[in-house]
Formats: sequence, structure tokens, C-alpha cells
Amino acid sequence: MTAMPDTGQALRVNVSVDNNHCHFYAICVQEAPEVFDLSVDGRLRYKANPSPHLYEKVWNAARLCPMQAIHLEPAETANVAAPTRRTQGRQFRATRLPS
Amino acid sequence: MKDFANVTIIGAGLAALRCAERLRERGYHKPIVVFGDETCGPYNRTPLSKQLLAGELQPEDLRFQTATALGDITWRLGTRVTGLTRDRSVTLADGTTEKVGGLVIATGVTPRTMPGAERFPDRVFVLRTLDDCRRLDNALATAHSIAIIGGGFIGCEVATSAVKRCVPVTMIDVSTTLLSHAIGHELGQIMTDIHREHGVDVRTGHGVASLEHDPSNNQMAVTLTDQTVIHADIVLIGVGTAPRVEGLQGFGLDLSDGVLCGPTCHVTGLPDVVAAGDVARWPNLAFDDVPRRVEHWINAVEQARHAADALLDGIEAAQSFTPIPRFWSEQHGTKIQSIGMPRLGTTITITEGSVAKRQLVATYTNNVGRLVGAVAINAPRALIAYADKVTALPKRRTADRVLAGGGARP
Repeated sequence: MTAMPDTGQALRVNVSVDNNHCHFYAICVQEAPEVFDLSVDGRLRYKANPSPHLYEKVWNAARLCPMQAIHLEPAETANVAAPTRRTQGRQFRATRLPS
Repeated sequence: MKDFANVTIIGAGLAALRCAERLRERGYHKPIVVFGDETCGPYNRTPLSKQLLAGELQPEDLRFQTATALGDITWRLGTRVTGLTRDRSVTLADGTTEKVGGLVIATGVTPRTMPGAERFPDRVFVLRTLDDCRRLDNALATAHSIAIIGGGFIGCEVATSAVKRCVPVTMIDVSTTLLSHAIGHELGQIMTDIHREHGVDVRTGHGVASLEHDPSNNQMAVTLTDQTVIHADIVLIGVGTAPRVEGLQGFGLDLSDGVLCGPTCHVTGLPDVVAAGDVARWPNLAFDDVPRRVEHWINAVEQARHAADALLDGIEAAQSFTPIPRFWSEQHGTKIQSIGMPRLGTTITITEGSVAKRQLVATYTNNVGRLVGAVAINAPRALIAYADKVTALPKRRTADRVLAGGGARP
């Protein structure tokens, strides 16, 4: 949970996708194509530090993710630890794009 | 912005959470009170039939993150609302009443069952809540077979999970294919074939005549209308849902199939009451002016946020809620995704891929040639482009004209 003032204010969030949970439904690409992209080979690529003006779109992507695999953190604290879990033993298929 | 003394939300599921979140985002800082029957707060139901039953997720994985702190919110969990009164109060199961400011109805749905099923609580199950899931999970741990009545999404997803657990499945559907209600017979046939290839014994074309316990083998005996008898240790009933309106009597609402709303999600005739999620029946003017319920998880999120806006904006200023509905499912590793309202289509065309490849996009057009929906099988990337095409439908009528005209065509 993150604190946020009233809507309309642009805030910077850091994005991480739990690649064990992501099933590549690409709802995030429908919601925020500037941030998420499903490549031809089936990889999900995303910008880990999207521009603040994409705040609403990024949150819509996170809220609507069928697997609830998108985790958002306020940018001030998000570089402490990316909240991905159980990453061992599975192929890394989500790739961050440079922002 | 309307300034209610409080906002009361009846129902404590996904729609309630997303509505409360949106109210706070909009700067509504007064108390929010949420009444829910279940003893736990909002959780993600969609993995119950899939990852939870398959053992890939645990209940603690079902929590939601919110964009903003929910502030002064009172969760009245395990508290059933039994009625509404004209002086804007809710009546609770213990007989007490509480005053309501703004009101959000998000009571959801309850699974339909079959006559007599309640006689076999340890053998016959439905799946809607986490408690339902725990009961079914426990039963699957020792069952040697399961019969699933109803080839809709719940039935097909539970079949998938049972196969993963090596429990033999017989699936019964009155239609000629599985999933025909949602995606039509053509694509339903593909999914029926996929289930059969994974060992599911699919029996289509006949309904269920009776459900009994057979003491000779201590199994359940499901008799079909053609007199075929299917034996199984346990039975799951997945024959659709009924909107939960039993506590909403007394307010003069139209509760004939859920809660009837106008295009803005305001409950008809009541300016400070909105509804959202599976229980809300509203006309989506992006398609037509027929009020319908949309039982999709994504719709619950989008409609809850819209309903929060509509409540705060007031009925005069509120926008019509005109989403492009979307859903997804995954069965035996095959992804099914839909956008729009395929059920409104009369013609289906496979526009990409093929049935043979089990990877395709099918479009659904109505009787005047308009694209009303698209369904992808194993093609999430290809489906993205179709969202815009369905969205491009002309919005023929404004909310005002529908409200004033009572549904009459211009």
C-alpha cells in the first residue's frame, strides 16, 4: 500500500512484475502501452521507472492485471527491494525496458 | 462534488474495495462503512478455481494492493444487511439500523445450485468464496473422481485443476459444447476437444435429471435426462449465478435481475445510490440501451471506480459507463481472452490463426455488420489491436435521451 494524494497529481512509481505470476494476458499492454509491451516471442517488457504522467495508466494496468503480478512502489523507496518472490528455478521472462 | 456525511457500501468484495479506493482518490475523506457477509475482507476470487485449487497460490496471495490509503473505513465483516428503508437506513441481521449517506450496492452474486443438493454437504459443492474453495480442496484431496455439472468457466477451470491433481473428471453440459454461452459453439468445440484430450470425460447435450447418493458404492449418482447415470465421489455444481438482492427489498428498487441502473450506474430513481460489479444491471451505451449484468472481474474494477465517480459527481453531471468488457480464462494451458460482447454477435469469423493450430482470433459481428466482440485463443498479443476496433463503435445515444425516452428508439 502506498499513500497518494488526490487524483490528478502525477507521482512517480517504480514498477516490478512478478515473473512467476505473470501469465502474459497483456491486459497491462492494453492499459499502458507506453510502459508495457508483449514482444513477438512472448516476453513481457516494461519500463521500471515510468514517467509520472503515466501514473494513472500504470495503476490501471496493476489493478486490472488478471494475475495481480504488477507491483508498484513509490519511487522514493522502491529501489530498496523489488517485491518479486520465488524467482529461483523459473526462467526469467519479464524484461525491464530502459525508462 | 457531493458531500455525503458517510458512504455506505453493501458488499465487501473487489468492487467495494475499488470503489472505496476511488472515493479516496477523488478526495472524499469522510467515513466509509462497508458491510460484508463473509468474515474476511476483499480478496481475489479468480484464482480460487485455478491456482488455489491447483496448489500454486495460497490464500495470503489473494490480497489486493491499493493506490491510496483507505483512511477512515469501517469494515463490518460478517454483518448481513437485511433491508433498506425509505428514510435512508440499512437494517442489519440483528435488527439494528444505521443511517446512510451515499450508498453503493456491490453485493455480487451467489452460485446457483440444484434441488436436493443441500442433502449432501460433504459431497456436493459450489465455488464462489474462499470457504467454498477450502471445502472443495479438502474433498479433492481424497476423492477418486469428480463430476462437474455445468461447462461454463467455473466448471472448466475446476476440471483443469482436478486434472492437475490427477482426479478423474466427468463434465456434464446441457449444450452441445462447453463454454457455448460465453464464446459460441465454434470456439466452444475447440475447448471441448482440448478438455477431452486432457482426459476429461465430457458429456454434452443432456441436462441433469437427479442427484442422489448411491449406497451400493458410496458414490454420488448423477442421472442425466437421457437416463445415463454418472458415478463420482464428489460433485461440483457450476450452473451459473444469481444476483444477491435479498437484503435490498423495501427501497422500491427494480430487482428483477440484479439492481437496475441507468447508464451512469445510478440505481434507477435514486440520485444518491449507485451499484457496481456482478449485481449491477445497466445499459452499456457503447453497445445498445439494453440493461445487462456483466459478471467479469475486470468489469467489477472498472464499474466500481465509475460508480464512485458517479456518486460524487451526482446524477446530473455523471458520465455514462461505457466500457469494453474483457475476460480471460486458462484451461489445460490454453488461454481464452475476450473483449467486447461476443454474445451480441450473430456471425463469427476467424480472422487470424486457425482452429488446427489452436491459436486464433475470432470476431463477432451483429446483424448490421458491426464488430461487437473478439475472442482470442492462445493469442494475447494479436487481440490487443481488436480493442480499438470494438471501441470504435458509434455511441448512438446520450444518457439523457435514454433516461428521458425510457428506452424507446429515436
